[in-house]
Amino acid sequence: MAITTQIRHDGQVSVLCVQGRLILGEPSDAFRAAIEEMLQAGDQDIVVNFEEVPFADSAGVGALAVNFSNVRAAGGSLALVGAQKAVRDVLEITRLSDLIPLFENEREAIESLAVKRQAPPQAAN
Amino acid sequence: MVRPDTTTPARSPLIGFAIAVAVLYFARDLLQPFAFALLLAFLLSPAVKRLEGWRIHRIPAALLVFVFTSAVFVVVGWMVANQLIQIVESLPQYQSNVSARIEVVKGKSKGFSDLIASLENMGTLTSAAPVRKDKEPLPVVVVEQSNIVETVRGYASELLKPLGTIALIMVFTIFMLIDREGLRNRLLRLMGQQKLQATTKAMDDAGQRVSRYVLLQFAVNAAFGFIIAAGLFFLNVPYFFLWGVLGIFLRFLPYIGPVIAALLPFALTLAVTDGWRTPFSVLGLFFVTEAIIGNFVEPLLYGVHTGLSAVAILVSAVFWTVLWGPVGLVLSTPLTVCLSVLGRHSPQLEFLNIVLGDEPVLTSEVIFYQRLLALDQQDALNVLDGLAKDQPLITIFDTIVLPALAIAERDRHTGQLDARRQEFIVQSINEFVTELAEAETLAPSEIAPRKTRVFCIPAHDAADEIAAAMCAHFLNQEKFPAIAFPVTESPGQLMKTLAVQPDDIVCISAVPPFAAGNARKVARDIRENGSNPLIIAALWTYNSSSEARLERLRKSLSLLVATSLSEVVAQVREIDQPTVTSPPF
Repeated sequence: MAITTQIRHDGQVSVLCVQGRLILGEPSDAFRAAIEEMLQAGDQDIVVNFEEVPFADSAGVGALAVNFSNVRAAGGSLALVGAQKAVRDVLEITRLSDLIPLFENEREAIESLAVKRQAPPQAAN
Repeated sequence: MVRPDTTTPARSPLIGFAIAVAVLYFARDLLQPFAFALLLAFLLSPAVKRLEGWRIHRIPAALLVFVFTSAVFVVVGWMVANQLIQIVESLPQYQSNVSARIEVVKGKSKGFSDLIASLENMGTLTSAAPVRKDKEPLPVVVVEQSNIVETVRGYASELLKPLGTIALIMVFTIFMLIDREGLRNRLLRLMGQQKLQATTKAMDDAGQRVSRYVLLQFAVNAAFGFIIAAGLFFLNVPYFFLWGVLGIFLRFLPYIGPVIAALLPFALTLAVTDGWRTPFSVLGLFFVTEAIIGNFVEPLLYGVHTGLSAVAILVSAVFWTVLWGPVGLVLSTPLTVCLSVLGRHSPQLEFLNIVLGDEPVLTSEVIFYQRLLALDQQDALNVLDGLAKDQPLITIFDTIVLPALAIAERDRHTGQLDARRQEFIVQSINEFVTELAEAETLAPSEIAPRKTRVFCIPAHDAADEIAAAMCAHFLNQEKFPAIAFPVTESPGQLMKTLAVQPDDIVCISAVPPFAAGNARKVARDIRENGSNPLIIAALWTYNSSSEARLERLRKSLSLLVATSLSEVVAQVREIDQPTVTSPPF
């Protein structure tokens, strides 16, 4: 039932690889805890690799949304890579895909976050 | 200085019980007729009411019913007595037949020879002086010759006692029939005016159930008597009508009544027939009829209609027989029904209904919670599976899982739930919800997306989080894009980041205790962070009697309030306007 997570660093960007079904309970908790740890370690730009996540229920999507919000609150960015159709469908139906950038491959996502980091901060609304 | 009260709470009911038993025993001469009269009044009052409905005044109606019933009893009693006398008178002509049977038994069973000899000599022993075979001298007892007055007094007292009891029963019954409201009002007064509603309900309930029981038993006994009479007729047993009637009345004696009813015709057929076939056919007829009625018909009828468990009926029969003898045996079930009903409507006597009643002692949600407390996940799942056969899942979650979660939360807050069990319960319910979600997840092609998104936010802790997940699941089933969030420090900040729109719905999930307060905090946080979605405060299992409180909450925060998953789904459905089907994603 549990998921496994693995953290890599690529320059300023950190990559969290998630493996397993992202569902209510321990898997969602573990996913949240991993991002929390990364934020505490000072990681701000995080790419989450979902290539090995075949399914996410409403609680799994909720955990992703909270992670996205926490990263943003910490002044960072979060991008999602390799979401399978089932997960992508849920993100689209809940319109979270309008907020969370989705990428096909990890390189694109890392470069996008790196560029964003180098860009001058936008004026606050 | 105040002395500490040394009486433990557990001791008080025992003392009360002991006092009640003592009163029942020592006041039995008065209470037995009263109980009989009460039973008769329950039986006859429907007929009195019917006559009153025909504009006959209460007193003549009661007297009419009573006289008619007494007449029926007298006629039947006279017929039974008359036929019994005929049997006794004709017995001597069958003496040779009885002796022949005894000879047969003697020959076949040597071991019983002494017993048979004793039986043979029984008549002689009662009339003649005993012959002692030992050489010891007989003890001489000097007995004063009683005079005629004392003898008459002895017989009179023996005769008058039952007659007095019958008279007392008649008087009590008539007065109960005439003044049943007066009696009820006195009892209501005794139990206090603040319990007026409960006492009235208890008395109505007791009246209905006891009446039903007596009528049902009479109907069953009548069927028993009819079958026996018909069977004996086909077996050519004399006086078959008498045995049928006796069967009806003797069967009012639980357990021993049918045995006595069977032994009488059995003994007669032993005397009047030559072979063994007829006597044993008679026994077989009684045995089979009683077995069918006792094991199939009665449990089906009484189990439903008296509200007593089978064990309670058995134990009460023993209890009342020990206390009041055969009278107690006859009265045992109706008296126990009355006690059970009193227990049902009186909090102080609730234990009586729990011990005696046939209602499930634990409700399903408590059994489910109790199984989880025992760390038995499979049994808990079996409870849900059992209910899932004839109830929709949302109802099961509303009536079993959410209430169990609320009980767990209450126990946790009062420190009655240790960490290990708490974790087990949370994890188990998590698994049930996950299994459910996985089993029932709709394929994207099946979903016609609706415009309204629903964000299910836990108000405070893990229990709220699980309930939020359940809520999201059932909303998904209704094709709403619903997300279940984990507990966060600032739900308001989260909603702001996710750019919640005014046409989105936020459902704040809050399990008692403190559900309303926690929901209010989250709602404020969302509003203060600038989001203005429609908010539903889902106060799971919240007592609907607190309607005024819910109304205040609705007004104070402009919230919609729901107390069950079904209600949330219904409210969301009402708010949402289904959009035209968009292309599948």
